Amino acid sequence: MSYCVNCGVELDSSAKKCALCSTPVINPNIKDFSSEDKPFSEELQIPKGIKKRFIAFVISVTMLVPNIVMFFLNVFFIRQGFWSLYVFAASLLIWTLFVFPLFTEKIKPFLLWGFDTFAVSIFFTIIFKVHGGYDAVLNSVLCTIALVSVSVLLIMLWLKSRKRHWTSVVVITLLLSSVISVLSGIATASFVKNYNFFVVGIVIGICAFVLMLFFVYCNRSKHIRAWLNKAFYI
Amino acid sequence: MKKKINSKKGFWLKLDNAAKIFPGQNTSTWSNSFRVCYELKEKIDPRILQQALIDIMPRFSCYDVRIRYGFFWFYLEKNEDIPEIQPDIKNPCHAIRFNENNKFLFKVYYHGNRIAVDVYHVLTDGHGGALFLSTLVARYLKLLGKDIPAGGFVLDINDENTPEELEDSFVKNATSKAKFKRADKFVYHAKGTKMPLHTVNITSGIIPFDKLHALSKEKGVTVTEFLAAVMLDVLCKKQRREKKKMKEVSIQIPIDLRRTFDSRTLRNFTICLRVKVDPNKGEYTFDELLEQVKYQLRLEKNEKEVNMMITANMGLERNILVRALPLFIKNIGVGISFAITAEQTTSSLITNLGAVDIPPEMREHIDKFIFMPAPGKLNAARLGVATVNNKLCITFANIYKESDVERDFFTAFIKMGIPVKIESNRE
Repeated sequence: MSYCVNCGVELDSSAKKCALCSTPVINPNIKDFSSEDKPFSEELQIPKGIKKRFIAFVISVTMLVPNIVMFFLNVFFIRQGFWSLYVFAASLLIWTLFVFPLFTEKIKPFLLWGFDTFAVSIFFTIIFKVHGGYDAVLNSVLCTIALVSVSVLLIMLWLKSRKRHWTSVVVITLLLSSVISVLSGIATASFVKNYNFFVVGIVIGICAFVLMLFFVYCNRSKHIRAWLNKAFYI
Repeated sequence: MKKKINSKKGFWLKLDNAAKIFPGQNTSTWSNSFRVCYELKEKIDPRILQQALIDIMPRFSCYDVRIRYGFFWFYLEKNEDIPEIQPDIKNPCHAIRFNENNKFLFKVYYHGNRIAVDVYHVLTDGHGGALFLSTLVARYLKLLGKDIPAGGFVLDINDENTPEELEDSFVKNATSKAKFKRADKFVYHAKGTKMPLHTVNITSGIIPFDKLHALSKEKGVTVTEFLAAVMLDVLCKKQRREKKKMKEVSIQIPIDLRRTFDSRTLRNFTICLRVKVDPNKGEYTFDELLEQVKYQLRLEKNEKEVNMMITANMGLERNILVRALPLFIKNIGVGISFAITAEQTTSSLITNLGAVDIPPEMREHIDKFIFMPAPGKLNAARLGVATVNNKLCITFANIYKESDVERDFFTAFIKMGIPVKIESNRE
């Protein structure tokens, strides 16, 4: 018979520490207990994610069929350009975004984000390449995707390091949005040779930055928070 | 091939009113199932237990079923297979899949001296689960040569199922003309580090029933009311320590309606009442909490109030528009509503099975009875209570790694001078 010196509760004879406060049990007369002597079994039964994977498999096959049909139609019957690639690009994008996560037992956010970025890039590349004549636009789109992707990765790493308050998440998101808008405006303007894009990027960037400053101010000032509560209560 | 004649072959049942919602809530990671468990004084013989299970199944034809998809509703159909017992596991009450376990909706486990049954709530409530397990254990002991008569929670396996045992008592008793308005706020939830998927921390505290009963009697409350007040106290204090915006603390207490409506059903027949306190009104002393729980619970726990609630629940089932919706749409609706509002209006759950009434001949072979509720989705620690042989066993099912709620709860009894013995699956 053992007791927890911290909680005062009696513990099961096989307990090595208190289940309530983790205080170790020091009992020189304690014998070795077999698994069956312990009140609870030590066998863990984890159900396999069969259902989720099965659904993912069925959706994958369902998506593959129209792609094959379109490919044969394109190659043998309607030979006006590589139009079946549109279907392939759209299917790949949908599959990567929604079906691929179902195959994984445990969601790995960095891996998923990498695949998503890749799928979106492939989608736009195929769309613009098949259509032809939009290389400059494609370059600016790919540049924007890369910027957004890197920013989101940075936010994910920052969030992973420790638990953050939601207000700081909003501030950082607005700051990064501001930076992305400016950089993407510069990139698009230089690829397309139209400086209106640069102006649009700068305007959006400034708006996001001002919003961020407002948010920081609201967060720090009790006075403004009280006024907002009073003026906009629902 | 000649068709096998079986009088029970075409046997099927509609899901009862409470059960209708559970399949829609079922996900790959969570099911609403609970555990009832007897700890005997001798080691379990699996071979005899398997035979006992086979022997009692005809007596419980409403559990000898599998769940099927209809066009408008799920239904239960006679299961032609044989249920199999299995060695116990560390993580009971995990997600149920309808096509595993020979398609049965309960699982019988054994470990050392323990016989446990995990029951999917579609089949029955805690009372039905306890009846099933008690009859199983009585049969097991009988096969070992012990003379165990039927009585109390032990049914005579030679009897046939009566229509009263298989009825949906909600349908029969929902007769109120009063309208019930649900107005529940989103309440406080104790937070912590989530356990990995499909796992749960179980902590049982064994308390001498006579001491707790005497103490609650001295305070003028029932044991359930006393336990609910202790839990409210623990959660209020925890919330105050967290120094966040204070929310209401609400505890859900399922009430067995069999005595209220004189029902003998083996299926679900409970309704959940709530007791709540708002810590924003000020700090409650324990005696004030006892009064709050006592008056709130007794105000609602009467035939008229309860009838109004079950009639409101039946209203949705009787609604012609709801009935006409195909099952998959109903499932999506239930799934979405449960995902958004599940347990938002309750901070915890206390379900007290009361004293499990078994024959004295069986009592001498039994050490204790453990009743564990389904692990919550938002509720950190939910607790089930049952009493046998003067041992009141309180079992927490906690989805978080931290054990502070259990610790505060059980040490409260130590401070009151009531001894507690702890058993847990925590490492």
